[in-house]
Amino acid sequence: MADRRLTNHIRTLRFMAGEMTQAELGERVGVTRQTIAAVEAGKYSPSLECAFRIAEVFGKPLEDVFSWSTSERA
Amino acid sequence: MLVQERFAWVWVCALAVIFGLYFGTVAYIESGGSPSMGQQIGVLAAALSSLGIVAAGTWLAGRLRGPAERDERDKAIASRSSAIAYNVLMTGMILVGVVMPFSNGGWSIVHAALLAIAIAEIVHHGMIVVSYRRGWHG
Repeated sequence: MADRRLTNHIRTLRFMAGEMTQAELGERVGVTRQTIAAVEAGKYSPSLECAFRIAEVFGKPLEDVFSWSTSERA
Repeated sequence: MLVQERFAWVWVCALAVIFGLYFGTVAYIESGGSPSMGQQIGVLAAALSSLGIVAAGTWLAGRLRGPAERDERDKAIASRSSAIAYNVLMTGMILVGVVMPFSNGGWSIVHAALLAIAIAEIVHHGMIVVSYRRGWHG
């Protein structure tokens, strides 16, 4: 059975943005540090608006930050 | 740990202990015969007072910490937890208000109503804890 889930590259993008902290990203997006941590860990799927804001902070299109991956599950 | 999760833990524990003691005491005094109205009201007042103290404590702790930061995730978790708890509460209230009056009466109905409220509240705060711990995908 296909298990589809939202994955992201926020950790990598933060690293490439000069080790931007989760708190800093959260402040710029308008959410808490804990929410950024949850999104990064795949424990929370952000709203579309929040996802666009995150992408905007990194100056990337949405699909470069988030992807809808499919992995086969037995 | 977020303040919302911490308060949810406090409420889950407080509700489990207070209502556990309440129903344990009720079962104990009912096992020794028919309890008096004074006994029943006394136990109920003790349970409600304890809940009042916990509510005052969490309110005071919240005031001392300042306004809690709430973003879309906090609101989504609070909303979903309330929706699930509402269904639990409604199921309990239908049983208490529609089914039980035909077979039970008096304090049995009061106890069943309190049990429904306690379960709904534990589910509400429990869902908040689980959603923060294990994640939430809307």
